Parts: sequence; structure tokens; C-alpha cells
Amino acid sequence: MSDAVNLIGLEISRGPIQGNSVVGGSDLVTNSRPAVPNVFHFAQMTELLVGQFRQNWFAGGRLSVRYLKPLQQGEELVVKAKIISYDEDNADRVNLSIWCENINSEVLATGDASCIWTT
Amino acid sequence: MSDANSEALTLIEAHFNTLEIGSSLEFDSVFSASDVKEYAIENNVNWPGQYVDQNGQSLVIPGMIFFRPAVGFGLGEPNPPLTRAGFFTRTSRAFSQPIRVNEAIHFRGQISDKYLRRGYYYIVVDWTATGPDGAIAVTGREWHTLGWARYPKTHPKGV
Repeated sequence: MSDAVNLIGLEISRGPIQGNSVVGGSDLVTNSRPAVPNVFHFAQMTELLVGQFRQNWFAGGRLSVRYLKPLQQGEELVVKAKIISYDEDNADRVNLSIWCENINSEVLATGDASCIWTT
Repeated sequence: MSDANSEALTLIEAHFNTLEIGSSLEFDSVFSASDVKEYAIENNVNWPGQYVDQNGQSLVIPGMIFFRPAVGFGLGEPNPPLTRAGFFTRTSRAFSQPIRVNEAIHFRGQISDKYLRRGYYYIVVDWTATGPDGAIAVTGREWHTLGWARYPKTHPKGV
């Protein structure tokens, strides 16, 4: 078993990162700036998680996300994650809560992740 | 509702009614270095950066590897813009092995559910991406709207 017990509560973050890409069609239904694709949120979450878990992420990372509110073009995104537990079946695997905020601290996406801890 | 929204909903609903739960689509795909670079630039990701295996080979950014529900099962050109694309509301993915640049990937997506909720038509797609060795590299489930058109909250179908 790793020292995962000691990792509970560890927080990691990335950003702020500006979202510039635009999802096709979103400009037709918003009255202001078009929306950045939710693919961007996932990409930034993955960037954070790969930075933390390195090679282990490619061979065992899991990420589930609910997209709650769009990021608008030109806005900045911050990704935050916190280790909340270790896996009951594999104590080397840690479970995280992960979410994206805009610069006003509004939660745009929230999810769960897990991966084998990298020592 | 605007005329464009109403027209789009008519087309989306007709398409939605043709989609069958259990229907599937398979295809092969390869991510080239230019594909990954383009994604990296669009999404503000440093590549190759940390996306390199132990042998120094560049890896495809994991967030690129997914079955696109709107492309596989949605409406495309020449339909009106409000019928095309749409957006993800939920995503769940599990990674089992890395995919290297220029490696062949086989995608298989299957509609596992479809519904009308809060004015949007949705499809849920379960998918796998198989690597060149025949082993599963990534699995996922995507919840995606069909297009951008929606019934207003005041409409019986908008609740």
C-alpha cells in the first residue's frame, strides 16, 4: 500500500487558462459571447491530472464530469481537484473530487477522478 | 419560438425518432502530429510536454480520444446550424493504455439511451477505442444534445 492515507485532503489546481475556441452554433443561442466547447474543460482537467499522475494516468486514469454552465469565449477557467479517499479494492488508487470554476468562482463543471498514485 | 428554432426542432425531432437504442457505428482513426497540435492550440494545452511515453514517443492527448456523438449519430450538413453539433452535458471516460501519435485506433459507439429533457433532445453513447494491439485503450459514455435548438420552458416539452 502506498502512503495514500496521508494524501487525503491534498489539493491541486491549474489556471487560470483562457478559453478561446468556440463551439459551432453556440453563438446562435447566446445573446453575448459564444460558448467554449466543454471539450476544453475536459482538456484542462486532464492536463492537471496527467501533471499529477504522469504515466499512470494513461494506463488507469478515470474521469467523469458533469458540465453545469458554459465558459464564454475569452473567459478564464481554473481547475481544482482534491484527493478525498483511496480505493477500497486498491489502496494505491486515490479518488478525487475535481471541478472547474470561472474567475468569479462560479462552478462550471464538477466530477470525480481516480488514478494510481505516483510516488 | 423563433422560426429558426422551430424549424430546427422539427428536423431534430424527426431525426431523433429514427435513432434506435442499440444501433452502433464503427470506424478507424489515426491522430497525426498536426491533429494533436491543433487540438493542443485550441485547448491551451502544452504538447508534447508531459504527453510522452518512457521511450520518448509523443502521445495523443487523452482528451482527444473519444467518440463524437454528434458526428456519429447527429445531423450534419446541409441541415441548419441549430440542428448540428450541440453540446456535452456529461462525460465519463476510463483510460487503459496510451495511444501514440500515428497509431491506428478503432472506435465503436453505440446508442445506449435517448430522451427529451428540459427542452433538449439527448443521446447517450457508450463507446470503446481499441489500440493497435487489439486491446481496449479507452472506454467512455457521453451524454450529448442533438443540436442547439430547444423547446422553451413554457412549452410542455420544455419542462
